[in-house]
Amino acid sequence: MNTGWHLAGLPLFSAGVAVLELDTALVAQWLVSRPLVVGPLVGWLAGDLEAGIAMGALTEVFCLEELPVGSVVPPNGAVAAAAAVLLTAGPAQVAAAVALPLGLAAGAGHVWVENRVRSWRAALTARAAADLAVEGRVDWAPLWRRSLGLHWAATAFYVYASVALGGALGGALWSMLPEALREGFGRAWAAVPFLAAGSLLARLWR
Amino acid sequence: MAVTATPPRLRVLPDRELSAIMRRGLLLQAGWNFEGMQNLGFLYAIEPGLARIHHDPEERRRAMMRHLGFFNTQPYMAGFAVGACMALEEDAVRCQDSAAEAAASERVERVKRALGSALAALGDPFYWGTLRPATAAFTLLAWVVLWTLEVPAPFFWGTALGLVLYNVPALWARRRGPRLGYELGEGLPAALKRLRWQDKAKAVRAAGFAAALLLAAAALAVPPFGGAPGPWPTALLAGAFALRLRGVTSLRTYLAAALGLALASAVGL
Repeated sequence: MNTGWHLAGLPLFSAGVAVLELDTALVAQWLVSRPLVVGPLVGWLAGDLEAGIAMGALTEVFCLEELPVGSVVPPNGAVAAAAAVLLTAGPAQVAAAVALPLGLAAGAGHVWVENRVRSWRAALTARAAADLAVEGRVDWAPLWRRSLGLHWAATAFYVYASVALGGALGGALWSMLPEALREGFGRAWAAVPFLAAGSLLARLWR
Repeated sequence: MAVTATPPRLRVLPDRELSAIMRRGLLLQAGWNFEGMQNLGFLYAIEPGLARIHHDPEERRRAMMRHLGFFNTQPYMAGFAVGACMALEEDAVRCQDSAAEAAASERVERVKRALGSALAALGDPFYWGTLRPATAAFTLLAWVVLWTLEVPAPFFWGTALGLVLYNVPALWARRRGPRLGYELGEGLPAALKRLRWQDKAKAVRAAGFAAALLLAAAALAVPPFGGAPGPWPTALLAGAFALRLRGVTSLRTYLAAALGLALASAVGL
């Protein structure tokens, strides 16, 4: 186990990714949290730009399939890309063919975190209403600090846990897989750019 | 009804308030919750306008309470609704009697909800459904072209280009939204229709598709993760395209391909 990575490197990456992730739904939505940005950035900082580019491009296309319309929370592309890159470029060095589905699973799992935080935020409306009733104004700064702070902390913890667990399990499972399955994943990895290209074309077709 | 007989609005909102509304709109979704959805962000955005319109603190408090109710739309389009609601709030303030004022306040609420749906119907397909995948294709194509031309830092510049292409139309809506909404009030949906969003979306989609087609051709000519060009990559691409059109997600296709190829490896293919 790489203690330095788990005590310093991964927490820093998780905290940084969680800051960028705020752009996904909560702040500004300039799309600096899209996998095409997060993947290469995390890869470059982790010392493996190539993995960052590959994972960023693939997770971007895979995460385009659901739209954030109404109360729909699509799989989180920023978390997916960051987890996939950190699994490949971090000390676990999980094979890219496995890191991609693990990253995508992490992105899908973040929907649960997002939904929990969104449910909790209903309390902030009551808080704002109470402020209005008593003072005739809303004290916004603490309200936003609570809302964004909780989301940031939950995401940072989730990214940390996903990468730590994924690194431990991904590496172990990969070595336990039968050779044929490993080879199959390897061949699927070589095929994935064509699957992604087909998917992107279909997304823009109609 | 007295509400419809109100004289033309006074232009009481200067640029400073409109800019504040635009800036505050960046936090529209910061308080997103399942009950009121964007209610907190909407109230935060409209607050400077309400402060300017309602001089009486009790009136202002009542208006703020009203705007704490449900609201949801495409986030870049929300400024239009904020502007239109301010125009209607101004009308409400100018009503002569309390019954007319109550009716006007009700109208603000009704129009706000209707605008939320109408703006989402325009913004969701344009920004999320078209511009986002199209700029993904432009970014990826820019990476390939800049890298092939050996431009320094091709991925940085390609990504920057994609972000600019996405954010220029988004920024337009955020910047123009509050003012247009304020100036047009209830006439806003008709005016927005005249901007022919669907035609623009079609053009963006066509350009994005062309970029994705070039990318696919480049990937088929030089497979990115090794292997030789041949009929299999083309078949995979065509298969993924057809499956996606039938609603099968890329992740399912990927996992099925991995298992299928594993089986093929197991039987020595």
